[in-house]
Amino acid sequence: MRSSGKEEPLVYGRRRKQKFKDYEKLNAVVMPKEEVVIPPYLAKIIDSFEQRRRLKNILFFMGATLTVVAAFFAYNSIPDRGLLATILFGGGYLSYLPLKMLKKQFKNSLIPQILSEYGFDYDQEAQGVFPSDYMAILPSYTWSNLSDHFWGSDRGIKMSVAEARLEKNFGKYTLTVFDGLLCRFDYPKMATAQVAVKSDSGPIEEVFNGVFTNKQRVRLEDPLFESKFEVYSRDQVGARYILTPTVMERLIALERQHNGLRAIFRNREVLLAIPDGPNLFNPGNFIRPLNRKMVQQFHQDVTIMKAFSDALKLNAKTKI
Amino acid sequence: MEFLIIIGLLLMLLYWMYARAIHIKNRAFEAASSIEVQLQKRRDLIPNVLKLAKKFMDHEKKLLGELTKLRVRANSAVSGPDALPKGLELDSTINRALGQFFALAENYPDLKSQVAIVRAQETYEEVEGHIAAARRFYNSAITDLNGALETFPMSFFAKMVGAKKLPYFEANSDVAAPVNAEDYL
Repeated sequence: MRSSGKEEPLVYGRRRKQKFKDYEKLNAVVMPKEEVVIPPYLAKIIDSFEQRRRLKNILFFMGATLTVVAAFFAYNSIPDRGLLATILFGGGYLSYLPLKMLKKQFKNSLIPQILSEYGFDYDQEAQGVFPSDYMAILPSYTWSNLSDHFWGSDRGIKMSVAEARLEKNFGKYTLTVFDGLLCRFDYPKMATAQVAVKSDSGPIEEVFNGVFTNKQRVRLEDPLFESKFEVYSRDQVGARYILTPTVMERLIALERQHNGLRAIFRNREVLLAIPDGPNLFNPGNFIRPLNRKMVQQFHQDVTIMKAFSDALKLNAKTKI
Repeated sequence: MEFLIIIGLLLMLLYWMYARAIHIKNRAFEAASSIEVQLQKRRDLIPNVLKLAKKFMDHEKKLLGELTKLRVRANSAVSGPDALPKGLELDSTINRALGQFFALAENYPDLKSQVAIVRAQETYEEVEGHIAAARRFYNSAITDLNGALETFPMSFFAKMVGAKKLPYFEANSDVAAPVNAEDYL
């Protein structure tokens, strides 16, 4: 940005402020400023948790302050800086623990109520929800955490959604290899063999994929689809039966919105792995006051999930 | 030493091309046979459908008889990639007759309400989807085969393993013809 011929220096804080302004502008469209009307039973839950949050928040700040003060006085008597940092971190974590537990209780109280309006069930834990065959579509990992699982039926299509975070150890380092959503839907066609669709990883990895798995690469006729995805299956005809030109188009359209999309078709189901999916049902930082507007956000989260099913037109009667 | 390495690499490359030519040829055969497998599935539907239909569709004897004859002809036809175009032509006639049969079945409420006929129609639609997929696989395999036969040095190896050009599967001219709405109104 230029003003009066002089270049204005880029200040981190100013840039950040601008970002927030942009965000507010965006929010003004998505979320109106006026008070959100929510059912009284939900307002009651939020208000009761807000009271408990305030108390725990005071405890958190007291604990955190005590930890910092203790660390300050122990600075000279503990020469090991690593140990000191561990004490600081541990103290901070212990102080935050009651808030963290309250957040968990809050989600367990509020979210099932909202999801029941759509006929969905909810569980914060989602470990082992998806069979290992499905997990094979994801990048290889050494640690996984699945959470915020909700399931039910939408317009006759059974769906099951969870957040997933996968990490892999590379010696001393740990890398997050996947952080997104796993969505399992009913599929109107029967897959005679598993069909795995993953984003194009380049010729070298493709050679290794072919060597180390007994699945064949399926080359499809759509050059745009081929440039974005790689398809593997043991059944060349079965894979093409599932991936008709129309389905390929729908997957391309979905990939445009969610780069790195992966999908696996198995029996009469499809699992979508969406790397940049939203953080579902997140009530935000419990250090800040609870906002009733979050209910609206949770409703939006459900709408986004339903949009994935719509994008693939899973409820269409035609099997094209 | 370097000379031996170069010779070794060259031999490996030649072997890879030879193996690739065999793979491409076999893939074309596999694709052709996969169409035949799917067509056979459709033919196998006919006896079950006819058994059900005979009870209700007395007035459609001509069509039912034609379906039986077509099935016998298709089953006795020669198989293999060379015979595929003729086989496909015959099966498109079967497809037309089966399509006509299911359309006519709509006029027979007693038949239409039979669970078995509903299932047969669903299977028919599924088999149609598989046939379309098999044709796409065939065309993809033929693209590789014909491409190998037209490009040197792969053409040398392809001819060496006895591969020859095969035609693409193309939709019948009656499918591509414009639809006259008056025929249906």
